[in-house]
Amino acid sequence: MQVKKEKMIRKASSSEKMIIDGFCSSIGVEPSRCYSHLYVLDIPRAPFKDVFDPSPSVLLFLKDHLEWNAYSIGFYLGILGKNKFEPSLLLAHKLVRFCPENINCVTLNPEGEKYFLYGRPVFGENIVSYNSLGPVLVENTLREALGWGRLVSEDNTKYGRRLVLRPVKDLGWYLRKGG
Amino acid sequence: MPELWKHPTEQSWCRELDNMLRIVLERAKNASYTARKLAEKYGYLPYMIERYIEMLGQDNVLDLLEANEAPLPETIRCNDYLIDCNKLKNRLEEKGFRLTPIPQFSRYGYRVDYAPISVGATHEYLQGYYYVQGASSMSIVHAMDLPVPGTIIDMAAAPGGKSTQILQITRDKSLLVAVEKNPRRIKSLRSNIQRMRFSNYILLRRDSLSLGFSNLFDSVLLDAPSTGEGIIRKDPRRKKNRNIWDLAEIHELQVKMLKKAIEFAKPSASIVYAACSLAAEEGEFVINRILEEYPNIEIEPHGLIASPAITEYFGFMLDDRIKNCGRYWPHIHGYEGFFVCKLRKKK
Repeated sequence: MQVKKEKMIRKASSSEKMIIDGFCSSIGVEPSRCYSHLYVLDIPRAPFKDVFDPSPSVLLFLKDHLEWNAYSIGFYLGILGKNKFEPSLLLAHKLVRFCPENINCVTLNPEGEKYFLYGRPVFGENIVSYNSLGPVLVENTLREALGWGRLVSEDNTKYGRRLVLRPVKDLGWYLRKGG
Repeated sequence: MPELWKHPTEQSWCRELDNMLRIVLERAKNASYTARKLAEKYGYLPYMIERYIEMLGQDNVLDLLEANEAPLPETIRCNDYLIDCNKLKNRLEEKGFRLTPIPQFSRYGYRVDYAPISVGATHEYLQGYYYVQGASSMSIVHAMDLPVPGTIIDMAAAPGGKSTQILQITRDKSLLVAVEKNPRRIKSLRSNIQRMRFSNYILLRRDSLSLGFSNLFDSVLLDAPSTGEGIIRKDPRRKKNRNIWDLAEIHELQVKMLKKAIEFAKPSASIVYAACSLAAEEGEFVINRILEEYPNIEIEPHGLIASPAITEYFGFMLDDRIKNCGRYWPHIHGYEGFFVCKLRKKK
């Protein structure tokens, strides 16, 4: 089998760092709580990059034995587009413990959780609590992260103005993308 | 009857084949009347049955063939890095699952006796609280030395059952280098490691044989590519889709990979070799060749419930130390067939 050479991992540039810091701030989290080290893997011909927060042992091994080439490394933070950062599910798991500290989280009841994990919108009656509209970390009542969403207030001819949580990335994605 | 031995493009390769293996395969190819009848009844290629008779004797072969007709019991491995296993068991049982612990294979293992929905579709699965993994497969990692901190390599890592188990046991504190050359399978490896929330890893999409690491790793796992004869219960096509030539080719690949594993290991480090197969050619014969060639390699007890590996096959006596390697048999242990051997590279 032909095996392609892997991609190069490098330190994030200051503009890339700024986008990620902007995302962390938008959900009310200090960037230092989102990551310790910021590294990027450029994907040839793709309009996005993978972003990681590697441990010191990963960094040392990459430097000493792999000339910074790898397919992937941990901790995976998300995807960086031109001016946009799409956070990973791992980052949701990492940050969920800060939900009681008034960061932008939405807590769903079990029915809301079910809808959300099927990638469907969740309406106000299944939302237990929230802090503010916009990008949000979604959790259940057991304080388990379910993913990322966008909380909006929408006008509806039948129900009037109501809260809607629109999924951005949910844990069910693992299944829908085929494992 | 198709000619199983000859391969049109590989005549030079056949000349290089280990002489003992060549003789064994020639003998297996000339299957006896009994082997042919059983092969016809159970839907195997005759050479496979001939080898099973040689390994187990005729009576036990019937037990094996009958065991292979039953579906493989489903088993899961709890990820105690994220959740207390009793808590996971209770959560799944509240949803209607019935689970039985299988501590003889792994302290994290459970057999799924009843599942109201697919085990791969629960919220707990999505949370990374467990991995759907065969019982024999999950036991293999328990034969490894897993130093914390340390540097460990899994040379054929997808889809990630053993890689995630290594990270689980080391509490994500030892660095795992996981290698997989198949571009499709490495995606599921990445997805599984991320789903189970580990971070101290490097994934390499390469052929392990192309890597130049030397005396680098504290522990090496080679769960070698195999014919998959150990999972006929899961995939009955394997009764017929590998001929003798495939078996010989896989044997050669396994020997090459195990030599590479020895190169990767630090002096005094351990190497666990495993193959999901019932074939002696993929287990005992691989180890025999290594012992012949490497005087600095020793076999250590694996500490698992597996039966002793065989040391006599088609009239050949293999290195007696090989009895310390292990075999999981579907009709004895109840799950997938596996070969496992723990080696140590002496200083």
